[in-house]
Amino acid sequence: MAILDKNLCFTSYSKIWLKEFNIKEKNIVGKYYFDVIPNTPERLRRVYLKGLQGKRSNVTGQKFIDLKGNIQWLKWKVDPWHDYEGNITGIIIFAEDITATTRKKELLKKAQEVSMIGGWELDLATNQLHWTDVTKKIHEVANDYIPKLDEGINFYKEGEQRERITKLVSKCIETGKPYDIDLQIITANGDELWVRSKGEAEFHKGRCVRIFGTFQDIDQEKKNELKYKETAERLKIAAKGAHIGIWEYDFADDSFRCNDEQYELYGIKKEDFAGDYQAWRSMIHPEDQEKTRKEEEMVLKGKKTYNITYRVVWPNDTIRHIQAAAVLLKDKEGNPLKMIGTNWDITAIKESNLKYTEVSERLKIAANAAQIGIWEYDFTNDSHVWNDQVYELHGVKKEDFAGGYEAWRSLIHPEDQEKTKIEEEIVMIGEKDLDHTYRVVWPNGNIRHIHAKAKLLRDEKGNPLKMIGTNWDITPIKEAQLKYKEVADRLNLATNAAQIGIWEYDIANDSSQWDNQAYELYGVRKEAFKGNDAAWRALIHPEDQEKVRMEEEKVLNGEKDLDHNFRVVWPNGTIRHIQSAAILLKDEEGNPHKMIGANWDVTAIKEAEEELRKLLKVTNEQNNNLLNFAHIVSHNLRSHSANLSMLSSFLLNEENEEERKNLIKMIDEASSGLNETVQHLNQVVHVKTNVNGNMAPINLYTALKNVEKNISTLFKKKEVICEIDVPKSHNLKAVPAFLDSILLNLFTNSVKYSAPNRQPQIMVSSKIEGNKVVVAFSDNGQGIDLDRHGHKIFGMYKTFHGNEDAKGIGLFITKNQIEAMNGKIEVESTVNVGTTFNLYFDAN
Amino acid sequence: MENKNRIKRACIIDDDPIFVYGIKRIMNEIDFCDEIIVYANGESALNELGSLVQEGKKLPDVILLDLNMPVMDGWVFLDDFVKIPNHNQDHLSLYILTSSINPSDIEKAKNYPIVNNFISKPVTVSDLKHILKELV
Repeated sequence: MAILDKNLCFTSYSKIWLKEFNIKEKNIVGKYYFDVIPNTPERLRRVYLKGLQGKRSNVTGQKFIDLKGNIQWLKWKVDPWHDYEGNITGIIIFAEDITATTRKKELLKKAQEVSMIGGWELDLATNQLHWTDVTKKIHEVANDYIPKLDEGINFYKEGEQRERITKLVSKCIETGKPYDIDLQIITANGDELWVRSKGEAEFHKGRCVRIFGTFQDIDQEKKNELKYKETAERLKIAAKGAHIGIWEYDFADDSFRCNDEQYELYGIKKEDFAGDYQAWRSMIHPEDQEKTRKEEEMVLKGKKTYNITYRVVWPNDTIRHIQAAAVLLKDKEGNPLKMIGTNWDITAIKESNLKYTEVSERLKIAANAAQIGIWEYDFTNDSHVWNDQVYELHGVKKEDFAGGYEAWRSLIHPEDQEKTKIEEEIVMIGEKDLDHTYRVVWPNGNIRHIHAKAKLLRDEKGNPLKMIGTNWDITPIKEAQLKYKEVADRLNLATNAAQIGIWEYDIANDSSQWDNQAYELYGVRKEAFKGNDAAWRALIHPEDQEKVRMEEEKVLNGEKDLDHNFRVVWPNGTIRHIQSAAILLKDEEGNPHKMIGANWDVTAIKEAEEELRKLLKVTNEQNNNLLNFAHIVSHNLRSHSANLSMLSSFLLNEENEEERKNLIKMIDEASSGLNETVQHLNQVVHVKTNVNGNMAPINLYTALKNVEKNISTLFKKKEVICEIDVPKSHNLKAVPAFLDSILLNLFTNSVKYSAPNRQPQIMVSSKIEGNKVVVAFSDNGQGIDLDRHGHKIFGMYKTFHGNEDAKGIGLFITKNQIEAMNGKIEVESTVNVGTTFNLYFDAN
Repeated sequence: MENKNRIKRACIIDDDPIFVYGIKRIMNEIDFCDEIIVYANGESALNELGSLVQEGKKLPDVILLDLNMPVMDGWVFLDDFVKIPNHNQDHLSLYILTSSINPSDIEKAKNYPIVNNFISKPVTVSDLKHILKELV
């Protein structure tokens, strides 16, 4: 307290005043107030001046901020001081610097307001509950709201929350145990709110008289916390589900913190990871070391955020591709603090990327190599995207082609316009994918055949969006097809004309396909032929079955192509020679699959061959005969001449007259022999040269009867029984003299070589065989041992019975005569039983 | 008296009487042998010679064989003769004497080891002297 006079100088003051205003002077009486306390706010000066005019002032607290910005809280009471006359002589000031206490209060209040911390108090004596304004605000009740005990509790969320607070409060009252809990209340407006409720008890004489505490709105915080927890949880789940590794690297202590997934990505166990930078780096693929280091450098320099892929090598040598992204945290000075990031495995993507690149590259190469055009048509803007091949296939240059449907259509051959439109319509309806061939006309007039395949893509509404397809040039195929058809037609004509039967045999199904010619060659009707192997085989001549089978075996063994001939027997018995040539087709495994071949009739050739062979045989025989004849003739001539020369040399030196006569006789015999030989020779030559033009029709019976008559004397003498059993109708073609000679020779032979112990018998009969008359001339004579002499019986100068008059010329001449007349002679004989000669003559 | 310069017994198989006359005469002239046997064909020769072997008698020292003969020719004789057991125990020599100059006959004769030589008719004094020289 201080008393000031009218001049605001101190007249009196308390010791506390000095202390309060921190005045150093011991005596301030008579001193000017503002000299003593220079930092008095201006406002207070005016309050003092007004006090001198009689105005009282009572202020419990006023904040002053001086020119330097210092804050001062003052509390004062100013009263005027009157003299006895009632004149104002000064003022009485009760003043207090309350800056320190006020600040505390103000701070608390501010703090409570900012953090929404309210207070509450329960007086257990009166059971009165008191809430501060903030507490009320938190509960969203009016400022004049007076809470009641039960109401206060009921704000807590019903159920678990309310039970817990009830318990805690009860316990606090009973035992004095303070509580501090986060709970939810429902505010007066019905909002849910997280609050932190604290309480403690005050005991007096062992009894709780009061509990009080704070009440704080922590809703945002709590929600944030929960949200964070949820997010973190979700992240954890996501990281786990997506196998995302999360890591944090602390620069200060060179340590990694990672989630479980992170370890999995590196193929290691948590306990095996040392957890520092070097340990991590050691797992990176050697080839990616440099690249990752550079990335880190850039990130630390702040040039970019961390985002990189690299490979890691697992302890088991597996290589995985890792995608890594991270953020760098720095302190205030810009030094790296932490790096927080993620890792995930992109091996599959990498591999599929590689694969995709590879495949598309391959496709490109393939399309190029195969000259396949790939195109895309966009319906929405009527535009084409073609690769180079499409342009090439259509014979247009990229720069010359306008693109679009009409431009493309103008390239199509006029005759194929209609058909391509129909195909497109069918595709648009959705019946099928595009798949057709058409011709395009190149600007230079070339016509090419294009095969096009495409798929139609539609939008969600089903409207055509795009058509993507391929083109390729099938002109060579088409041309080959046409050519093939032409060739096939020609072949057909040719085979028809040449009567070549074409056949195809399917080995697996045992079925064959023949053309019409083939059926004709086998003399069967198409409908009567079963078409399997057995049916075909049944048509083959029995004698040729084995040979056919052997040929087939060789073909199936791959030794040769089929090329052989065989006979077939037509159902009507006709025998035809078939030449067959074929090739064997094998399937991918090399198993015989099909046989395709041709058959043609070689009967005429075969017959001609046969004829030729016969002719050759005859010629050979003739040749042999001639050679033989020549040798025989030379032998006989030589033997006679040798005898003659020998005898004449004897004669020259012989003086004995008797012996000379004998020699001359022998010379005569030898010369007769020589003569005879020459005659035989003449005869044979006559036979060979007198056939042509001398053949005449002769009645066999008449001829036989004539000869029989001519030798009737001999027959009588030898008592021969001669039976001629020949139809008078049998006429044959022969040289009459030859026939007489032949018959005479056979008759006389039968008589000459008759068996001495029985009466000679001769039987002559005849029959017609084809175009031949066969005369059988049999006797019951001595017979000839054919095993010994068979090959010589018709030989010249061959005799077998030792008869004096046998010359070995008769049968030789006979055979020559018959063969000269296009006939033949055969012999059957049994010693001491008889002999039969069969003579074949041309029938007339 | 045995003469060491001639053959003991010669056999002629030939159907030609004139040739047989001639060769006998030459044989006599050159003192070819002590004894001559003549067969007119292969069959009679074979029968007789077979009997000699059977009776244990000696076969002729030399056989002069014609080829062309009735009933059994020279070839058949050869075929059958070599089948006679012990037919060659006394070193019999066989010559073919024939009018044939057919090369195939000469070739064929070579297939018979028993045939010493193939001589074409007419047979001369020197031919027989040659044989004599060979055998004695």
